[in-house]
Amino acid sequence: MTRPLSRATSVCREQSRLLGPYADGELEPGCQCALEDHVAECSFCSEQLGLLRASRVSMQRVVHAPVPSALRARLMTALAAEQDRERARSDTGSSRGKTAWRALVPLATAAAFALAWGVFERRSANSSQVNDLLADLVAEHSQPLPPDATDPKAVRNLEKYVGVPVQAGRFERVGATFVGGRVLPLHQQRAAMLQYVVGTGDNARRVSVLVFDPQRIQVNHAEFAPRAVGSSQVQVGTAKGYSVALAERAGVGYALLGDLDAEKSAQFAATVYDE
Amino acid sequence: MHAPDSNDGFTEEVLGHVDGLYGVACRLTRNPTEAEDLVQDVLLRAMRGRQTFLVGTNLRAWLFRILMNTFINKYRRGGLERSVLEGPDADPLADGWVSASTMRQLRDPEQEMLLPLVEKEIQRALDALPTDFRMVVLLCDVEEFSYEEAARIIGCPQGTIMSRLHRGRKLLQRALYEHALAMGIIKAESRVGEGTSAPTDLAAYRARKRGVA
Repeated sequence: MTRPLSRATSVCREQSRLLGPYADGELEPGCQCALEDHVAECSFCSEQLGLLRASRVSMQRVVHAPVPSALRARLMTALAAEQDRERARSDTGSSRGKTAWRALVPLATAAAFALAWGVFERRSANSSQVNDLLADLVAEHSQPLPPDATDPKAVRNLEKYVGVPVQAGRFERVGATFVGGRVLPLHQQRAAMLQYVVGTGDNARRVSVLVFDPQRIQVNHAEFAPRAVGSSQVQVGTAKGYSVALAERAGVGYALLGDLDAEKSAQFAATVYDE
Repeated sequence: MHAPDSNDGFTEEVLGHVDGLYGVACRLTRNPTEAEDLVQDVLLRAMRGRQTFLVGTNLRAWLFRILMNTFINKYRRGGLERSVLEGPDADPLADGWVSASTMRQLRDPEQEMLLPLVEKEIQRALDALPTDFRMVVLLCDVEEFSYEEAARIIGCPQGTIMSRLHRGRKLLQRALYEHALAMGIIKAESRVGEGTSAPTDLAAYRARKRGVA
């Protein structure tokens, strides 16, 4: 085969835009024949085609990197966790009526509990007296991990991991916004951590509500003031500068931790109570 | 937590495309750590959206569509690049920018690929491509998607795919040419795309006037 043309001609310029689609197998049969005739005679276009194909092979060699084994393991774990979540969702869906009923009690308790926390005066506890678990709860509140779920409805799925019903309370009327929820590993057990923000701007204060199985996680503090709110026993106090309230109701344990001062707490709680 | 169900064909099939997704994600983000996050994001989105995937259609194309969407939403800056590069087609290089003999020198005579010294430049040249062009080159050249599939993945007309691919390849070739020139693999020569482009420098202009190849 002779290729007398080694430089681009006007024909080459016309054909050159077709070389790519030709190399990609995207050219219509009619155009394809005309181009093949030209390429057979033109060493310039023939070399263009060769360079296109060589570039493609080299690019594939460069880009196709094997996935690091650590990433593969991480992806497997992430997919497995996603499957767990899916199962949890389907389990929740199949027992929806039961869950709705069970969620009512914790929600009511949370409201009453916020009231207790706000209206009772703070009692300080020395940090040395704060038990390890409480210290951990405070640490989780003071340096919170980002939430996994930001949809209040999605928070219900945390029940699967925590073993007790979890529901995001609706505290919008007191300016409390639900931020999100996540599972929190705690002393080889798991709790659900629900995060709220009360107020805005510089006045914004964070409130964390931890929900857990009190049979597995026992948070008690002798220095906290025991109060009865409705039929619930609530302990209120402070730990490391944070307001803390502990309660147990219908087999579900709660811990509220907040940055709110006493006045804000009272306001927050009173409004919740009105609701 | 447990390993993904071995019976779950979807999960297994998705994991089978991880290599391709990761390679492209590395070149899209130009950062291995971000690429890892991007691939994980894609896989989780695929898992969550698996109900929307039509069985019997192309899973690989669907995954790459998620990859491109996620990448665009998460990483890319504004539309600056697009407005600059998709303006008037001011290609500084005519379609025939070097002679056949120069092009021949860029290729390995034994194998259907570039010279090893030039090939090393590929990654840098790819990374330097504007994002829109890089996405199309990765889809069509590296992953060998058809124009139709690439258009569906990116969400633009086929004509746009063809134009970006052509421009992207030209920019890559120019980068390779300049690299080969700097490495002394080839010698400088005149631009041979007569008539359509301005000469890039005086020497090239004079050489062309003299008719030197």
